[in-house]
Amino acid sequence: MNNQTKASFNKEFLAFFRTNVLITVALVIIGLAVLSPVMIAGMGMFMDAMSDLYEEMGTDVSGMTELLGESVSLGVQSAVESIVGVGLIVMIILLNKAAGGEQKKRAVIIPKSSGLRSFSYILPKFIIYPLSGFVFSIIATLAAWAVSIPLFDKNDVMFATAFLAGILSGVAVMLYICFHLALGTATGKAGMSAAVCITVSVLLPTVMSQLSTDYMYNPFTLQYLAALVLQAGNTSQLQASDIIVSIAFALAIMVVAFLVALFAQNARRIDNYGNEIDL
Amino acid sequence: MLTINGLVKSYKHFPVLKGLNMNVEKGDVYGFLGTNGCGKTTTMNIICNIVPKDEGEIDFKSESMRIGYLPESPALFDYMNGFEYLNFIGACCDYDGDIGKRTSEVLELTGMYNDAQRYIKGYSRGMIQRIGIAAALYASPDLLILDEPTSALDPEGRAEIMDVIKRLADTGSTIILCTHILTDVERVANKVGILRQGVMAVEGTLSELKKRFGSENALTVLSQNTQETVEILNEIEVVENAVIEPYGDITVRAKHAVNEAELFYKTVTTLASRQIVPEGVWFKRLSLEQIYLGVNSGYLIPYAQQGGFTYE
Repeated sequence: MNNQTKASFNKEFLAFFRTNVLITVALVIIGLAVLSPVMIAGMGMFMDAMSDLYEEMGTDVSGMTELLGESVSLGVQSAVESIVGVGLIVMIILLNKAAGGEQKKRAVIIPKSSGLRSFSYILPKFIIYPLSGFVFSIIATLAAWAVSIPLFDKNDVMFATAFLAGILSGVAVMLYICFHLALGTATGKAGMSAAVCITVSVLLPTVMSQLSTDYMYNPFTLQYLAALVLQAGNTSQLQASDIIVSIAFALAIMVVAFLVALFAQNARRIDNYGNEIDL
Repeated sequence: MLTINGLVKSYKHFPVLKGLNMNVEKGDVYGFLGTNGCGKTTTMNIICNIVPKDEGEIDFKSESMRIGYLPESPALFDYMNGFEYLNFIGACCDYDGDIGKRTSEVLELTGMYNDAQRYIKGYSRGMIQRIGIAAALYASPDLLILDEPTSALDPEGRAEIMDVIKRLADTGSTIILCTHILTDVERVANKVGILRQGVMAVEGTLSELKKRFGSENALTVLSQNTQETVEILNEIEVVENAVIEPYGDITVRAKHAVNEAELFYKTVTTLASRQIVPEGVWFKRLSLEQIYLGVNSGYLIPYAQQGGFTYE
């Protein structure tokens, strides 16, 4: 790896750590993931405590109460939804600076005038931030699993299953982060990119899940695939190869996003050697 | 070093540059002047390949010339300190030598060595500009372009930046100083170009411009006894007229075909013979500010290409 790329990695690390983005992302994603099963279990206990009142009102909540207090998989599913929902939205917003915000502020003109190449500029962003999202998603899912075990009656989720669900949610998070980085760095408009990615991350999976319920080979419904994995009895229907291919599609799209960002940066490069730039 | 011919640039059909010509020689400190929005930054951006040109030629007179660029109102990475930022710039430049040593050198050159451990977030505007200049200097560029380096700075900040630029100028660096602050230009520049309505209205060394637009046949006289002095001066045979200006000084204009030396001699000797000792007598020249305002208002344009001009 050349000096420029190493220096660029160092720059992104410093940005990630010193601006408190890292700690905020970690706290939000893990916090939401841990709170989700707590809220589910709490809702069940609340409804159980209020069951007499509901009965007087003519509503039988015993089924719901049983469901909410039943299995660890429900707790972990809610955590995965939070990670790829609110957690992802927070991470997208926190990454605005890296996804075109510093370009909008014109902070990249001096480095680019000095000779910073597009590949060295873009590559660290597409490694550090998506990988961080991936790692925190796995940690958050496992934390939610650990918290869910004492809260729910039935522990129907093994560690390996929770880990797999974490990987699937992590890949989903990586995918949208790569979109945001690509769109933001290509346009220099971080706010617009964030709005588009958040909208897509909310709407697209919902639309696609209505079109098909097996979620196979679809990189935009990985969180629903994670839910299938977690639901007791469904894992026998899933082959390892199916899951691997789904993840591979998502990774392929991330590579395309990186190439798009690289192409856009190259089109806007500054060549200060007194030559004409070759667009 | 750099020659520009017929540079044209429009933004969405709005023409900014309409055939700009410019010539910068090695060692020049070129003051590139113009009103806000006239196209100075566009010209610099085109030279630095940040923005493509529509038409025209830019000849760098060198196969591979390195340009150091300080943009207007530079933004830096505020989560880094000065050392870290310049080390990063050193890597961007693919600097061959010891990056740490070079970083220390440019920090010393710009007077930022003692503040380099602090985060850029805590820097003043003047300090940010100095780090920006240090970054532009890092790879020892052949041409240094500074776009409004003192804009939005307080007088102390401006003085700091101009000291740095003066030191660089004294070492023989080739600098294009893009600004609308004329006192900064007069302090450091040897050559000036004034951009007006998309073309270079005037270009030349400061002394050439002052000679071209100045009153070659006029003096300024400062005297305690203004009225009496004016009456005496108007009696001198070589004097066309002597008038009291609004600020109290006297402008003495010579008749046609009378040279400056003769006018000066006659003025001083006549006043001395009449026991009047003036506080000062000097040749009347337009200041750069007067030239700039005259060019921008259009008043001096008809005289821009002429060899001599009498200012009225």
